[in-house]
Amino acid sequence: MGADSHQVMRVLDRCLDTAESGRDTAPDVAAAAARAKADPDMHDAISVLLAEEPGTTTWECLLRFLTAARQTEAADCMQCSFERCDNTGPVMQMFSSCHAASGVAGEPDAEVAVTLAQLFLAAIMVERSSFGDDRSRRLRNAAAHGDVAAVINVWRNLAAHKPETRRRSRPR
Amino acid sequence: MGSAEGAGRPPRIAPAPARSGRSRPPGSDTSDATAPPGPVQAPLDDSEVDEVERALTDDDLWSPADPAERARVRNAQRRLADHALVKELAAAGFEGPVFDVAVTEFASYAIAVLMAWMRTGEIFGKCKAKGRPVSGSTSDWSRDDRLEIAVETTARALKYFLGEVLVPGKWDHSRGATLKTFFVGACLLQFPNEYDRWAGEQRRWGQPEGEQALEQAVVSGDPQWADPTGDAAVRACTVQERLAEIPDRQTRQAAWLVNAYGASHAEAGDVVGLSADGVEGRLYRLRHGRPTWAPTATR
Repeated sequence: MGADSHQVMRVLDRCLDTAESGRDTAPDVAAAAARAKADPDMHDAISVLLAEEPGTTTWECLLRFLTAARQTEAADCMQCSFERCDNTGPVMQMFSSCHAASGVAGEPDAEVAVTLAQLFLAAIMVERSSFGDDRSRRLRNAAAHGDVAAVINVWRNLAAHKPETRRRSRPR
Repeated sequence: MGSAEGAGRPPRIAPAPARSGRSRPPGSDTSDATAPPGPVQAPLDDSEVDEVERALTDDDLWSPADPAERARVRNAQRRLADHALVKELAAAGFEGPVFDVAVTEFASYAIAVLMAWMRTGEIFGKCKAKGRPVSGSTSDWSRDDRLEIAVETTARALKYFLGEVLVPGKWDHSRGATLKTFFVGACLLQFPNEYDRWAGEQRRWGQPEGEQALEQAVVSGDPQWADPTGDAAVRACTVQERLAEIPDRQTRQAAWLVNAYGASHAEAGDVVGLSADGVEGRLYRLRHGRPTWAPTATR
């Protein structure tokens, strides 16, 4: 659909940069994301998934993984979701890269790996959506991370019915 | 299978149907009556057809001469992908990593679109077209103003879009509008209220009596504004900032003694090894070389 793996990385960065500050896993996920982004196999897997047609075995595998990530413990996610998937498929490849990147001192963290894989797959789904055409992509990339974070903050306050912390512009 | 013939339906391997004259190849004079009896020989093998199918490209399938049709097909593909995304968001209960990514990208897109529309003034035309006219002009606001409005509008649009559209399942991918179009529409609906709110604030700030009241309160030492430590703290900060800008060590120390401790030129000169005139001259050049320098008068 015209997007490339680097665009998916940008989406991931934007999300991690604007993530809610209180989230415990955010620093670990960000560190793992930095490692995963340097993995050429990850880029290959993303490129395949971006071009994949809905309804294919690979696409079904992607959806199965997301379902398993929601419904099972992280440690069981891989077994549940990949039982019927091709071991050499792009989703499996992506998860393997995330798993390897999640490791601190050689010990992979299943929860971080699953979260990171979910983020990558979500970014792929957004790039395939109507927000992923050329012009929309350029517009999204033009937004400053700080401004996006400000939107998310105001929206969270609104959603939680908290008093708004409105930024007041200078008087003219 | 065999019962089909008995039921009056054509057999599975039927003779070639009679062709109309229009579909007959030009120059052909072969009549159907001369066709050999029995099953018709296929002019191509399956492998040849497979090869043709493999060689087909999108351009062959969708006429490049018809961009509108091509755009329609692509739009349909995007809407299907939108549908897949919304299904996943709903399945996750509109929370979690997938939701975080989607919301971030929705916000990124909307803020960029709103900033562009406000910069050109197109936003006013869009709102008017939607039946929500706003009276304003592009000369009314700075970039900071636009950003403030864009942030607030996008946040409110997100709340509406998620709470009133996606969560209740009111967006239907089969109805022609992509997720993106629907969301930008939500932003347009929110913009007039946010613009009016901002314009009202600007009017209140701009009222002369408001500014005068603020000034009077500060000057007269209104307890609401009074902070006995404020003046000294601001002055100390200013001095520190300015001192850091002085490259010469002797001059910096002299300036520190004079401005921070209130030492005379002579006292400062004794400490740093300069005459009183020397200190005065250096500080004079410093003040005139840097117009913003000299938070206090020297003695």
